Amino acid sequence: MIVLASALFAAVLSAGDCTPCHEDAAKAFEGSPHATACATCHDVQPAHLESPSKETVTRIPKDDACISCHPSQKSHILPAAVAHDAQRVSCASCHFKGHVVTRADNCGSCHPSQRAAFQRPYAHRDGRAPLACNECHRVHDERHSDRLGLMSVSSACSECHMDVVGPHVFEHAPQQVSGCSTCHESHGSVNPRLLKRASVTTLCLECHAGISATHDLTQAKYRACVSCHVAIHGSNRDANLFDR
Amino acid sequence: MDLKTPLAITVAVCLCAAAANAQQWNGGATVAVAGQSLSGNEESFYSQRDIHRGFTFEDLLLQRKSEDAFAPLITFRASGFGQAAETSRARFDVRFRAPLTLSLTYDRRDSFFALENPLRDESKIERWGARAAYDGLSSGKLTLELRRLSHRGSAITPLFALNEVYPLLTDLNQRSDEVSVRFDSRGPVPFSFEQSFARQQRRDRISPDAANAIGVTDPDLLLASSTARNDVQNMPTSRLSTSFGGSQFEGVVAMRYTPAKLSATVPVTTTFGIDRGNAGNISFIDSVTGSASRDAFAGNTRFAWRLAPRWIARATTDYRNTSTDTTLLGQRLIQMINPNGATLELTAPLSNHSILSFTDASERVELERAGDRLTIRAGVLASQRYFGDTHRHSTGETLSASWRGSRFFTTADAEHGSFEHYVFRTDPQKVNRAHFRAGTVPRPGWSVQGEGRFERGENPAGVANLSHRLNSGSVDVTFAPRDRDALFSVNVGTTNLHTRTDLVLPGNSAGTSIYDLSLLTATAHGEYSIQRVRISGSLTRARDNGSTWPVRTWNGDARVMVRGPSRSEFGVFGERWSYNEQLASSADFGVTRYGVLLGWRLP
Repeated sequence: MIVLASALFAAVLSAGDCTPCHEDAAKAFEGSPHATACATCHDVQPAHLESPSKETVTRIPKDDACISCHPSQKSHILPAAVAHDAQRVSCASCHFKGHVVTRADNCGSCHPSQRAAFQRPYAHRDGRAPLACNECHRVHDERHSDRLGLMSVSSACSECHMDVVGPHVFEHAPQQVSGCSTCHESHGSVNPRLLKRASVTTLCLECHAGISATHDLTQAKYRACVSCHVAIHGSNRDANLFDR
Repeated sequence: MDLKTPLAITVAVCLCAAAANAQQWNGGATVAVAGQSLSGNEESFYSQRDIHRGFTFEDLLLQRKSEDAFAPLITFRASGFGQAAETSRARFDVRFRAPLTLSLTYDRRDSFFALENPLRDESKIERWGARAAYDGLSSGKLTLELRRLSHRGSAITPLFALNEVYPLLTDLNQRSDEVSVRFDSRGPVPFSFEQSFARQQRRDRISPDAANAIGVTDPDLLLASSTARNDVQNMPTSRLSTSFGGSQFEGVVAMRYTPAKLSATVPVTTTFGIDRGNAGNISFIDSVTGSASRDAFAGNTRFAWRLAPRWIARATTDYRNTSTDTTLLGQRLIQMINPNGATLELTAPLSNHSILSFTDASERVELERAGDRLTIRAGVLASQRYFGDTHRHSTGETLSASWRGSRFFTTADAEHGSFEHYVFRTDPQKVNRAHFRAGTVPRPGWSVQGEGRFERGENPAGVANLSHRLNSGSVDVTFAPRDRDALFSVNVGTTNLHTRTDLVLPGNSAGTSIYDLSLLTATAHGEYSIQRVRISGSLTRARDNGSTWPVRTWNGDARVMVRGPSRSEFGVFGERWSYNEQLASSADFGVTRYGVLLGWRLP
C-alpha cells in the first residue's frame, strides 16, 4: 500500500513542486531532455514535501533510474562501457551534477594520466582546450556497436585525417597492422607531430634495419627520412613512398 | 581580417536581436577581441597553438522553447569563427513534437604544421553533418546521417629527384561524403544495424614552389610539375551488434565489415632544367593507374555467466582480418631535350601487384569473485597474429583486485605476455604490465584520484635488443562544492620512459637508439563566482628532464567576467605561454595574449 502510494505520489509530482526549494536545479533543467518530473529519478517520498530531508529523497539517482530511459546502456554482468562497469563506475560518477552537461574534460578526474598528456607542448587540442574525449572514444559504448577497439584506432583517426588511412596502392604496413599509434602519441607528446621519438630518423631506423648504403646519414637530407619518403602513410604511385 | 568573421558576427548579432524580441528564446553570446605579443620563434609557437590576434566567438547559444509549437525545442550553438581561433564549431538541433529530432553540425579545424621549412601545411579540415532520428516506431529507432569532410588549402612538400630535394606546392582538394542508415531495434534481443557508404576523392594539384627552393645550390632546376590526379575510394561499411541475456547470462556480439575499393589515376609530369637548362631539359612523364581492394572484417563476442551469487565467468574474443590487394599499371616516359632541340625518349613500363594481409585474434577467459567490497579477477589470455608467413601466438595471464568502500576505492591490475615469432623487429617479446588506481571522496565535493603504471618490455639481442621501461603516475585532486558555483583542481603527472633499441645502420654498421623521457606535468585550475564576478584561471608547468630533448614550458591563463546591466557581461583575460628547449634555443618562444570579452545573456 505504501509502495503504491509512493508511486502514485511520484507520478503526480511535477517539477514545479520542487522549484521553490531547488531553483538552481530547475534552471539547469530548462530545455534539457531531463526536463521531466524530478521524482522520475529522485524517488521523492511524500514526507519530503512536508519535511525536506536527505532521508526522504534519493539525492543521487541509482543507475536503474537512468536505465529506465536509456535502456541501451543496460548491462547486468558485462563490462558495458569499456571497463567502466568493472571499475564500478556509475552514471552519476560522470554525470555527477546530472542536470547539466558534463565538462569537456570530465574524464580527466579518473584518467589523470590522459589529462596530463594533453598539457604537453604538442597535443590534440580543440582551440585552447583538450579535444573532447568522445571525439574518438565512444564512452558509453552503446550496445558495443562502436567501440574504439572494434573500429581500430586508425578508423577513429580517419574521422578527421581521411587521407592517411587508405587503402593505398602502396601501404605502410605498420600503420595498417598496428595503427597510427605505432608512431604517434594520440593524446599529447613533447615531440612535434605527436611523434613517439624526438627524431624522425631514429623512429624510422628502429624498424628499418639494413637499408641501402646510399643513405649517407652524415648528410642532413638523409637524416630527415620524410623529406624524400614524403608519402609515409601510403602512396598510390610510388613503392618507395616518395610521392603520394 | 577575412570576410567570414564580420559576416559571422553580423549574423550572430541579428540572431541575438531577433531572439531578444521573442520571449521564448534564451541563451547568449560572448565575443572576444585578443591582442598578442610574441618573442622568440613565431613558427614554433604556431606549430603548437595556432592562435592569433583578432576576433573570435567564445560562445553563442540560442535556444527556443515552446510547449505549444511544432518544434518544442530549437537550439543553436557556435564557437570560434574568427581568425583568433584555429577551430570553429556550430550545431543546430531541433526536437519536433513528433518523436523526431534533427541535428546539423559543422566544425573547422586548421592544420598548422610549420615545423621546419619547407614542410609547411596551411590547410583546414571542415566537417558538416546532418542527422535525423525517428523514435516513433514500435519496433525501434531509425537514424539517417549525412556527413561531409573536406580538406583544403596548400602544403609545401618535398620532391626527391635527381638526388636532390625540391619543394612542391600542393593545392589540397580532398573530400569525403558519407551517408548512413541505422536501425536500433527494441525487444528482448535488441540489435543495432548500420549501413553506411562513404566516397572519398582526392584531386590534389602540384606546382614548383620556387619561393621556398632549398636546392638553390643545385644546378638542376625544377622547372615544371603538374598532375591531374583523381583518386576515388568507395567504402561501404556494415555494422551489426546485438546484446542479449539477463541477470544470469549476458552476451554481446558485434561485427563490422568494410570492402573498400580505390581507383587512382595519377598522371604526373615533372621537368628539370639540367645545369639550369644549359645542358637541356629532362622530363619524367608518369601515366599510371592504381587500384586497391581492401576487405576488412572485425568482430568481437563477449559473454558472461553468473556461476553463483558472487562468482562471474567471462569470455571475450576479438577478431580482425584485413586483406588488401593492389595493382599499379602504367608507364614512365623519360624525355630528354638537348639545347639544340634534339629529343630522346625512353619508355619504361610500370607494373606492380601486391597483397597485404593480416589477421589478429585474441581470446580471454576471466573468473571474478565479487564481494561486498573486495573483487578479485584472474584470467588467461591468448592472441594470434598472422602476417605473411609469420604466425605468432602469444599467451599471458592477468590478475586484478579492487576494493571499494564507501569513500575509498583501489584497484590493481597485472598482466604478463610473451610470444616467439616477430612481425616487426621492435615488437617486445616479453611484456609485464602493472596498473594501480586509487581514489577517495574524503568529504562531499572532494575527489582525489591517483594512478600508477609500470611497464617492462624486451626482446633478444638477436632481434633488436629492445628494452622498454615505463613508469608513470599521476594524482588529481578536485574540489567542486555543491552549494556554490566553483571548481578547483590540481593535477600532477609524471612519465619516465626509457627505451633502447639496437639499430642496423646503412652499410650494416651498428647503432643504438635511446629515447629518454622524464616528464613532469603539473596543472592547477580554479573557477569561482562571487556575486556578479566570475574568476577562473589555470597554471601549467611541464618539464622534461630526459636526456634526449629536455624542454621546459610554463602556461597560464586568467579570466575575470562581470555581469553588467541589461543582461550584459564584460570581462578581461590574459594568457601566457613559454617554451624553452634545453639543448637549443632556436625553437624557444614566449607569448603573451590578452583581450576583452563582451557578452550578452537572454533571460
